[in-house]
Amino acid sequence: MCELQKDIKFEDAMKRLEEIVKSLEDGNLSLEEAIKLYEEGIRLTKVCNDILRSVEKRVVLIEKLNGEYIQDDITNDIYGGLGQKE
Amino acid sequence: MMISNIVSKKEWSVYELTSYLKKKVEMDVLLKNIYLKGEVIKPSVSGEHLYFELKDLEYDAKIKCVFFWFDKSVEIKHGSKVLVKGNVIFYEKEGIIELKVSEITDIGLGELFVKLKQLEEKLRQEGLFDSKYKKEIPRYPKKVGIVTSKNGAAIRDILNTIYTRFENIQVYIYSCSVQGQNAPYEICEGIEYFNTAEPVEVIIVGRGGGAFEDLMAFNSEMVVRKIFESKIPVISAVGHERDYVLSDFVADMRAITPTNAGEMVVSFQKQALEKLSEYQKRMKSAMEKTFNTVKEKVGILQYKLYQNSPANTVAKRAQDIDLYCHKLSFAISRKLHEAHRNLKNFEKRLADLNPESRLLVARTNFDNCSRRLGEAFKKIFQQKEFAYKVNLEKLIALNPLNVLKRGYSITLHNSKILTTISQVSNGDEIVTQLSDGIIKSKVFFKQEGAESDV
Repeated sequence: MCELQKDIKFEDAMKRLEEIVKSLEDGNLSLEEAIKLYEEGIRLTKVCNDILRSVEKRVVLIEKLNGEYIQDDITNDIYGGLGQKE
Repeated sequence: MMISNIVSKKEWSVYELTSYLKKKVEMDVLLKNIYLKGEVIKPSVSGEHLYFELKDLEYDAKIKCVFFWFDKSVEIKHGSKVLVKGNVIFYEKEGIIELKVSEITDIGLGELFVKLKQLEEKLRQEGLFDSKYKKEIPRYPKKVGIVTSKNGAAIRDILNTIYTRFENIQVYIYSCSVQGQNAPYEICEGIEYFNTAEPVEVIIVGRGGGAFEDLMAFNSEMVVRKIFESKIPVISAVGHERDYVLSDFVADMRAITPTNAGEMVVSFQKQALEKLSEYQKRMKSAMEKTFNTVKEKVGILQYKLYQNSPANTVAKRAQDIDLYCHKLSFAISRKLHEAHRNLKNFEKRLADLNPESRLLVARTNFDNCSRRLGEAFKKIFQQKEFAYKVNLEKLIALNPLNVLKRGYSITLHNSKILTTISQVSNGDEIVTQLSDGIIKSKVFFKQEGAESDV
């Protein structure tokens, strides 16, 4: 299935998935067609899930100190130093 | 305290200083009954008194003011441009200078507003707020940049909102001042940073709520232009829903609060996750349904096939035969039963018509009659016998001889019984019969009438 290439756009995948769900629910398909569509749908959900979860939670704090930008990874300490004062 | 005393001293007490300043200030005639023009900042009413600051926009200078027992009918708002009359006083205890206001006059909208309106109009004319320049906010950003103060409540709100909804996202926070003179420059630097050094998919620029003044950085021309120039879509998230700043107009999207900005960047991803699991469920149940339908069809065909198989035909015939057998035997047994019942009936009727029994009845009748005859005869005989006996008794009682025995006698003349004296005459022979014999006599006397004395 050419649509299932890795570079498929997330929104297109979701759209296609919706179509698949609808035609499966309409129930006017032969068993073979249904199985084919179902397999495609499962693969698409995997692709979409992978895209949505492709990135892990990460929080980086950037501050300009003495004219230089300092990046500090505070993923595990998000609220440690944030929003405390003011 | 003499001034010379103070001057000669090396160390002052705080009180010495404040009371000196108080005298200095209050003795100065120039500071009495002055008129002061400025913009009202943070007015607050406490009891009968009005407290506020008066600001000089041009030089960014401020002075605290207090208006005791002020006339509440005068409405003083934040940003109002006013003219006040009053005396400058020095509070020893606080160490501060205040204007003790005795009159206040509102002279229209603050210059701040006017300037802001002018800037807004200018930028609008230039087309900075045109919708045709608005970039689309990506629905599924994986990397988000935030330009705000790391010390503000806004960053916490945004992070909270994002990560309680959706975990798989990277957030880059560019920490900068969001109020004060440096704020516009720092905000612009942040936007620039994300456009060059650390490319993100969407930038949130904002801060939490505050006084109108505190939000001014987001009204600065510099920031507005920077947002307009950004290649990366910008969401403006300043203050509360009621606060409107120029960055809201120029941004590609306006969030009503920082929390709302957080929602904007992850809501689609969160929805997509939910949709995905929903789609999965629906596909599964649709497939199950399809399978069940097919299964049902196969089942029906299987059944039909079985129905029409030779074995089943034979079995069916055998069943038919069995059924007929049953019907037959049932019919026969019913017939038999019926005949039997009829026979019983006839037998009974025949038994009822048996001559022997009729004879028996006749004999019984005869015996009855015969017995009754005998009894009747016996009764009659007894009656007759009784009557006879009575008559006999009567006869015995009436026997004349028996009367004679009791002393009576019968007198006869010429074999005729005498019943009257006239039947005899003197000299006639008469016979007297007694019970045991007769006497023959002659009548010699007769007397009629009464009984004799004899």
